[in-house]
Amino acid sequence: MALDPTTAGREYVTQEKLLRDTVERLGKDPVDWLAVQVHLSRLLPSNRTEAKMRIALRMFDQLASAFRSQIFVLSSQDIVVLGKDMRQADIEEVIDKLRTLFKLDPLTFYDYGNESQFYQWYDLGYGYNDFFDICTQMVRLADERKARPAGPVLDQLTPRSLATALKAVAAIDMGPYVHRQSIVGFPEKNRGTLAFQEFFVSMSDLERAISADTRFVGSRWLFDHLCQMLDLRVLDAVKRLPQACLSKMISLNLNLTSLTTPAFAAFLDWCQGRIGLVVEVQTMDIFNDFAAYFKARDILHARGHRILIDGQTHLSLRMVDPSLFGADLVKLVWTPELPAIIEDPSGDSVRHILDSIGMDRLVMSRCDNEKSIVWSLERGISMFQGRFLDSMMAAVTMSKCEKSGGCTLAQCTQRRGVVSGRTRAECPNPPMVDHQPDIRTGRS
Amino acid sequence: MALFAPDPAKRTPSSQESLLVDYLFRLENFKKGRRALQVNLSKLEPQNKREQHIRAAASSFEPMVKRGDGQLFTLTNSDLIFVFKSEADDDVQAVVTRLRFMFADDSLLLDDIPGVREQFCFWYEIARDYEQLLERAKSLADAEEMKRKQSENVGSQFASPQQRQGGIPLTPELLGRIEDALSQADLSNLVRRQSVCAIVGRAAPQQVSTELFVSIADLRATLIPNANFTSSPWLFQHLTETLDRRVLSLLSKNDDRSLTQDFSVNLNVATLLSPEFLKFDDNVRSASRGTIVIELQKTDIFYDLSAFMFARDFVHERGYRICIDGLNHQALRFVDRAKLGADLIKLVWSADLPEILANDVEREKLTHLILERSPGRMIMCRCDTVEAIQLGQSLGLTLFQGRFVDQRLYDITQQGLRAKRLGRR
Repeated sequence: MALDPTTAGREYVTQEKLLRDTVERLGKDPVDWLAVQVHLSRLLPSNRTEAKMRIALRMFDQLASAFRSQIFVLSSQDIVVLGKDMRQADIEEVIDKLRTLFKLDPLTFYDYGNESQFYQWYDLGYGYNDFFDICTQMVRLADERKARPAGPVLDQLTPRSLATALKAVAAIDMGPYVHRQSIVGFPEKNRGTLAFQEFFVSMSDLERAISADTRFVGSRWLFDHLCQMLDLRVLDAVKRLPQACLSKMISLNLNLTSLTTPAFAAFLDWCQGRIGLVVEVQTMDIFNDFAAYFKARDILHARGHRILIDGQTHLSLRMVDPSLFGADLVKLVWTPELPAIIEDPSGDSVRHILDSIGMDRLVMSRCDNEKSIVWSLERGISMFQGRFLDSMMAAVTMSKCEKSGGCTLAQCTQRRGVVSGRTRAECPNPPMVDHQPDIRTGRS
Repeated sequence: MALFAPDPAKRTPSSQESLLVDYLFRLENFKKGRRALQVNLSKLEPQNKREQHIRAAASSFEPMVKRGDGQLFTLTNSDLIFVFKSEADDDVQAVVTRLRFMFADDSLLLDDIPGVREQFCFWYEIARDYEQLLERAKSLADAEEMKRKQSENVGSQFASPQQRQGGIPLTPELLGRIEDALSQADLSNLVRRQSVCAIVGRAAPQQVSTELFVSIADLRATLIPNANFTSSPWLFQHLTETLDRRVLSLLSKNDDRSLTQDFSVNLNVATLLSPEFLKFDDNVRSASRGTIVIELQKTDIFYDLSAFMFARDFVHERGYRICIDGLNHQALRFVDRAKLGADLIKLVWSADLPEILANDVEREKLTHLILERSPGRMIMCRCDTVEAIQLGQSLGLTLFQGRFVDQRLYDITQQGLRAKRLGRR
């Protein structure tokens, strides 16, 4: 009888299995055996990159020479150290180093005695069965993980593939790839109204359109160069949009080098009397050339426009005080652990900086749930951007729209997020796709 | 017997041909124990010498180049010239066998009889054939330069004003070509050293450390003169990352005893998180780590702060120190060394600084800033005149680096040597 090759007797040689086999063998006499599991798998995804895990593992190097212990690097990214008559102090020293390396990850925010989320000791002389069960369970999970097909291996961006991509992009009409997202201000705690709309290029859509097998991953520098080359194309695309598509105030992400081009000067002329502009700039662009930043800011201010510093996190606020740059607006990035980090005593400096910037100049972005808005409102932040707001505005629009019976909320939200193309044309009530209603929250 | 006057200034070192000439000049006193191989790819049939074929053939030499066994030059006509140490002869023979196989169906190879009728490649014994090879290289370089000048004259008519002003902008294609050239180049020629010295009052400079760096200016001059790096800042950053890896592997392999400690090197954050850095770290004596400084650029630091902090904590744990490079007096205001957790800062001297600081308010601001940032952790760099030292000292600084510092150090060393010699008599 033929076996189903996908499930029958599929055994993978994983470190989990090696660990379990080792633990099984020492079951005859587990006295004086200790094990410690360090739960690196519980770190934030951004802290579990290949590079960081490689360096974390290196911290265990000093134990490798001690023949009393064996180190298992599990496929889950957890690390288990197993040994007889091991010196706990040696291991604790390594764990301390790890704690320092990952000190900004909430997993390491524990007080003495509460470390169990980060690591766990097992005395096999007393709790052998429990630990063996854990090992068995981990083997099962590891096998499940291995059975899942790996994602396709993607071609990385290289200078040559970037050159090809640029040529391909030059021939494309950018219109269909321009997306927009609203920034909503709350002049009162329960009423949100459109402040301005950010127009940007959907790089994922563009990537798909250009090539089936080159992804815009790999060197971020090359990716940023690609974005820089798109700046002037975006200006063009915006100018060609129908009036109804554009709100009275728009924002664009631009490189500082683009702001001193004749094309941008012409764009400013075009904006005159038509729309108000907010230019969003990246921190590293500013740090690359301070003079260019201040020059750009002055150019914009002279024409009555504004400049916004994008992408601020609790981390960046610890390193640099954005208020030094005299920007009109500063955009913060919401992450689920933000409240924990800011409310922790170590977040004092961050709170202080937010105050010095001025709560009325802050925009909280990536708000994909209600908590991000509620928490921020409580702290005095009143401008927001994110999927949650997109949905709210779509919902309000649909409630006012007599032709919305056949539409879903997801469809409406999606249609409102693009400025041209088939998706947008699917809307049964075109004037409503550009409608920017006030939204009311139930709170006051 | 001709007398060769190596005069790099006469020739803009922009082509592989002129690089070959310069390399041969440097070999003048080291002819023994070296050979050269010329692979006549230019004689292959057109369909067999497209760019990918040339690149594939050139890459066969890469392992040897990386090991330091020799240097490869890919000429404009597609011929390859590999100059190598005789010890590597077997390896080179193996590559030639491979190349013969690669192009086996080309009529050139069918016509070729190794040892009897060499068409595909040609061997030189440097000790014996030096002048012949050098003459050949020079005429090739001259021809190439003439061709290039002609095309430049044509091209410049159509260059945009921006291009004519700022030079050739760095494009992805150009970057690709530079990276290919880098992977084959022997960078040890381009690694420069500059001393960091403590200069207090009028006392002689005391050397504290040596900075190792690949002179970007030299790199630009050798690979693409007139390149404009500022319009494509992100491509430039990518290039520095590529350079990093080469410099690290150079340092890992180096047998120069003066480079085991007390030096600093420019690296990118991404490089610190790479396997190459771990390999470099393995090769450094643990006692030396405390004397090695890793210099980071501010653009790179702020690119990904989380990566920077992780890398910083990691290298600190290993014992290295971190220096933030290249801040001018304006940048100093925005970059807080202590907040960033860096150990040192480099403040850039510029000729207009005295004028700026003639203004009392500005001077007061800068003095205050320096005090806040700890003058003992600040190095004034690019000091090419005595004015720089004087100004730096007036601001409370004691650590300096630059052409003037190197000159002073050299003068004093010479004085010392002379005194010693006199003393001996």
